[in-house]
Amino acid sequence: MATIKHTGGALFQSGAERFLAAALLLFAAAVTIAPYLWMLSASFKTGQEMYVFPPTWLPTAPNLGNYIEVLQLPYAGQQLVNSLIYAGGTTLANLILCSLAGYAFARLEFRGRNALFALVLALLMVPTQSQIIPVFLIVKHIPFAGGNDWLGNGGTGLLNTYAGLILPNAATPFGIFLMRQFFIRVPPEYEESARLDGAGSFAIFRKILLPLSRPALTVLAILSFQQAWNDFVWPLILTSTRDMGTLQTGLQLLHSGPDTRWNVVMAAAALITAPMIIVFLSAQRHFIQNFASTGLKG
Amino acid sequence: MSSLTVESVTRIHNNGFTALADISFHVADRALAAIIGPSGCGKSTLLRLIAGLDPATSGRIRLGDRDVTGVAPGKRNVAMVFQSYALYPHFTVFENIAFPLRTRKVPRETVRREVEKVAELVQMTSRLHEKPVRLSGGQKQRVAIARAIVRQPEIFLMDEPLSNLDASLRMEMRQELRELQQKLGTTMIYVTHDQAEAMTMADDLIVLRNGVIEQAGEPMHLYQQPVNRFVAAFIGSPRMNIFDISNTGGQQSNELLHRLRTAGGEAISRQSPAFVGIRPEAFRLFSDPANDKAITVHVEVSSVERHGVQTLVHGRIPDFPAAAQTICLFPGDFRTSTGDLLKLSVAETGIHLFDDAGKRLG
Repeated sequence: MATIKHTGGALFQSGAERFLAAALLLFAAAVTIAPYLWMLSASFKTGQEMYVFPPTWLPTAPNLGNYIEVLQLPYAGQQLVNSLIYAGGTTLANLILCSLAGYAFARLEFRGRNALFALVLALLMVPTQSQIIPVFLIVKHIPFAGGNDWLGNGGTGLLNTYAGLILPNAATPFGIFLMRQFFIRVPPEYEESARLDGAGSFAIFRKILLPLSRPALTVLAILSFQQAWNDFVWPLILTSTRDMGTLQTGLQLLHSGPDTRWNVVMAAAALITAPMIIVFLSAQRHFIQNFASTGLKG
Repeated sequence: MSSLTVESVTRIHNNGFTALADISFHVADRALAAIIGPSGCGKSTLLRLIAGLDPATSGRIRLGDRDVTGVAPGKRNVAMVFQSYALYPHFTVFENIAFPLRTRKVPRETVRREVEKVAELVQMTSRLHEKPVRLSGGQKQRVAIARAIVRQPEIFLMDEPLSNLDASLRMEMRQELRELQQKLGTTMIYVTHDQAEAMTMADDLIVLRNGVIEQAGEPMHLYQQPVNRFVAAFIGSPRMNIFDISNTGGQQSNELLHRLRTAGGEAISRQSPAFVGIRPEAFRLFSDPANDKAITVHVEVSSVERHGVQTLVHGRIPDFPAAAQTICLFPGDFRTSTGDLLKLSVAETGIHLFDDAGKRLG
């Protein structure tokens, strides 16, 4: 068992190969990071410096004026709250619903399980764009919401509400798939042992499986949060008032006029991107870590 | 603490495969019964049925006088140690052992006391606050056992509990497990494919093959009176030599074949034995020509294994059809070398005869 050797370190043997590999990776990293650096640089510039030619990478007189201006924008605070509720609510809903559904698909035996799971997978292949209008109509015609009658007519349904923002993304096919794949790899002995010890299905799920699936849940949380945080189209369509808009719709309003001040837009973009970058950096070890099987064997 | 009765239990898997067919046996209170057989014989399935993890297709299972056939695993009061141990990686040793008590809502203080008591029993007191990752195989094994005994079940079920340990540790744990079982006085059902483990530990052996019990009983009874060729070959190491004597390959029947066929008496020889089994240790160096109860066998030595405590001689018996191969075991250092022709004898009581279906004669 212990005879398997890791060959990863020996992938690039000679010095020339290593140099070439490093150069390629550096190039890819530079291409990826350049727009972010440009955004950061621009956010500290004055309005005039934005249009100097040749463009400067380092602001000649860096100042925080743009950031202060962004923070003082009307609705900025409200939009932040809205974004947090949208992203946080979506994340929480996904964690709960996808892990429950994933567990059911992985472990419970019921009639039509495979057909149902195939249906969930099929949803992965339906383009998001094609769902926007039907989903909008469904949300608008939810019975008894927003002044609707029992047939879902007459009012605005869940338009302009947090529920309307969150519900359509509360459980994603990808999340269900992710959790199912994870649960399938958890050895069944854990559950069987717990069952013999008198634990019920829900206790097993909560005390054994959920703690074991922390790596998968972390990935799911980050992806859900990021997806909702960066989502632009759905909030744009669902919300029609400024006080229900999210940061992304606010950002769009900021540069929709003919006299867009790009340095301010960049400061806003930097502020909006920052939380995602922080989350990714702090959680990246969970993407790698996988300790589900360490309690087994010798 | 109670006995276990399994009554004509059958298990047919969802795909139609019959894993167990009409299994019945009884294990007395406080006894250790080993279920053995080659892989795929249904021994783990049988254990899972007793645990309640899988339902039996038909038949009944009783603990003491309580019928537990349809009872959920958590309500049977049985504890199981899995081959993989199944220690929860996110719990410490203490939490792992405490888990069965906590699910039963045992008061905090009692949990602490019981866990500490059991941890001392398996000598894990000093590692109570470590995670399973940091334990060695033997220590994980102890924790798994501690988790099983902490709630004082009526029956322990063990699914190949020692198979992940190295050889020397396995010997040690074998002993410990047996002592622990006797100290606690709990009935134990032990699944293994290792016949030596089963022989040395068990009060009762249940030999399974293809979902059917081939033979059940005390280990030495199975060793001395195997009911068929399969059990004869499965129990004992090195395994019993079994020779096909039905077909002489056109040769004239010789004295040896004649003596073997008639070794069981006239009634048996009339049933025309097809196979003869001789345990490696049944061979003796020929000493007394006057003893006509013993059968003389000539063995041509092809190789010798010296273990010090015993000597294994691999050879051929020229008098058998196709000069069949054999293994002979002699105690201590037996002096012989390749090419020697040994004159050996086998007592009539050391001869096992089987018919052409492999069933024991006599």
